[in-house]
Amino acid sequence: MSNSIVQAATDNAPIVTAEKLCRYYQSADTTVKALDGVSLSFPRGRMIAIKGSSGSGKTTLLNLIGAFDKPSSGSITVDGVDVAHMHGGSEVKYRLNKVGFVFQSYYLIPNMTALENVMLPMELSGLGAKKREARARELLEKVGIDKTREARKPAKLSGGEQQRVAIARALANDPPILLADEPTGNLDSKTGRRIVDLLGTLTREGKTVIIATHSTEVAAAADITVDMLDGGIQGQSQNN
Amino acid sequence: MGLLKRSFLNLIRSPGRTGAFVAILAVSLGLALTMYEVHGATAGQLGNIGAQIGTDITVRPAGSFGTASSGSTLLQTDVNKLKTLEHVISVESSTTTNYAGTVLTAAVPTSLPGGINAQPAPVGTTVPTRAFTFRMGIQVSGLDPADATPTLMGGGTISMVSGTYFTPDQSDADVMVIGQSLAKANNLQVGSKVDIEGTQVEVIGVYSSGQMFGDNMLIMPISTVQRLYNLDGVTTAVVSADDVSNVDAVATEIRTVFDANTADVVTATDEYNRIGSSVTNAASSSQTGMIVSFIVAAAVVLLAVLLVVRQRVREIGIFKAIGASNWRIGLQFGIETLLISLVAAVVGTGITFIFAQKVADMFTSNNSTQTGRFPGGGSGFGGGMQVISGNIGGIHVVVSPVVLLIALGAGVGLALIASIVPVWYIARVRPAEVLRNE
Repeated sequence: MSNSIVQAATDNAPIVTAEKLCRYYQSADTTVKALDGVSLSFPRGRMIAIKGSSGSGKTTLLNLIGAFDKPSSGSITVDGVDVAHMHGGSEVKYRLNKVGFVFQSYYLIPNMTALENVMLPMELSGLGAKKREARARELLEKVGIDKTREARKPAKLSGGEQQRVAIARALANDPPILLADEPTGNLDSKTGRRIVDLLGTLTREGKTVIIATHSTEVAAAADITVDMLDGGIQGQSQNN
Repeated sequence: MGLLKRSFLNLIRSPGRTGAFVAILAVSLGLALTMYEVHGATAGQLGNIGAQIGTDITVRPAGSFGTASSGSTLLQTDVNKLKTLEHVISVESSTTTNYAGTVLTAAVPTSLPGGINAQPAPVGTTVPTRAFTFRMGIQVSGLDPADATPTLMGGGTISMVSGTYFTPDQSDADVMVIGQSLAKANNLQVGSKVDIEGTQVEVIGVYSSGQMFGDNMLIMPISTVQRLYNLDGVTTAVVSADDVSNVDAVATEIRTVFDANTADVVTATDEYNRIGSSVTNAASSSQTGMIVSFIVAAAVVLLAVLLVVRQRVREIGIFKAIGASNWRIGLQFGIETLLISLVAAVVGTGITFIFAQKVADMFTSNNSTQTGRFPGGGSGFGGGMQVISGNIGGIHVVVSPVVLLIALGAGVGLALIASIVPVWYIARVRPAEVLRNE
């Protein structure tokens, strides 16, 4: 399985493909169909918005792409990796190197500075201290966090700044895919637009950015919009 | 940021919670270590008691009680047989009687009710206050001159204040050493001569025993006493066995030499059991306390870790989401637990140093004993007073610095056991479940 993780996909091949993907939850006596027979294909190097209301299944889809969850049935392949059947070390390597995740609530480690938060994934992948510090500074500068804020802990940063740090952390190990779940959900519209712009710039570096959102504005900024409803895909549109 | 630093920062992030865990664990560990130390001390104390009184067997004429003589003696020929018995390492004989003359005045104050070896007031005298007021008599002890340092009072010795103690060359000489207070009461000194049963006996030494009764004695060679008082034999023979485990066997053999109508054979077993009971109880209690305390300490650590892990489940999810392995996250929680345990171990050691002796005292405070070798026993003043005022049943706890190493070892052990909790829990956490949008 670990071989498949490092297996390089061709540039033309879709980065994410799913066939009849299902994720069911058991709740008391009822079965909740969070994702029900979804088949899709996402191209590489684009910003894709998965749009839908609460409970439409967009976060569940994102979790399956990020290997945070296992499908009940169906298949999902990400950058040549069969994500549905990964376990243990393969799963850890996949999360470390293939995907970066950005959350609505940022989820930075509270007792670590911005710089230390960005360095953390690189520490986990075994990069040397000096190299990871240099790269963390570079990434923070790239997302717009100046040096005066590097040493601040999350509580001393604004929401927009925290989300920028979270994006820098997601990019730390240079993953090909960035997954963002409602990245602007806790931000004002102006700050939200800047975050979306920042994510858009990443596609120019070859990253694939997949955003789960219920915001029409965010979806409009994406290259592709996938509309979801009740665990299924309603439609897919190419934006200009 | 290193793993250790991150663990440390996590601990000080919630100082109240961390402090509470450390305090509870420190008390549990301290109590366990205190019990451990008390238990060790009790074991040592039992050994000491056994060593002090465990191997002596006293043989006295039948009917002797306490320091009171029955009036008969053990035949010397029979006593000599005791030396040939298996497992017997020594036999110390003594002959004790009461001074019946009128020349000497007792050094012990009169009107000492119920005094040991006391004599009834002379017939015809008036007893002013109590019907059973006694006047202490002067005791005459005949000891083996070969023993230059006779043991008194179950372990005490005499020290010569002036003159000398008699030697084997004087085994039948008319010489004696007398207690310091008795000499003072009668204006006696080295060179003085006293009429004892019609014979002028020379004082060749004055001793001090440090005890009121011990200094109210005349000590002569055993043969001299037997001759002066026409005694055939000895009044006490103290037989020492080579080991505590052989005491009963030796006592049985002695009873074949002296039947029950002739002599009372008393071993230290009963006395040992009586004295040792409080210590044994303390040993048992402290062992139970130690086990319970360790179980409590383990439960505290397990619950603390479980609580912390559950409170930080989102953090675990974040770590997993950014690519941390279960092992890596578990290691961080393990280090945090270890740090808490080690700090608690150091504090617990301090608690042990402070409270170990106090706890030991609590165990034995109601069991202080006044004891001796056994009635009439002992080597020095055979048949005389053998009461030792003391607290042999008390436990003296010496807490050594080694206890810190034990505490640290226990802390590491507890941390290792407790680490099972986060390892188990972390493996079950799925990021999707704990990182849902708020």
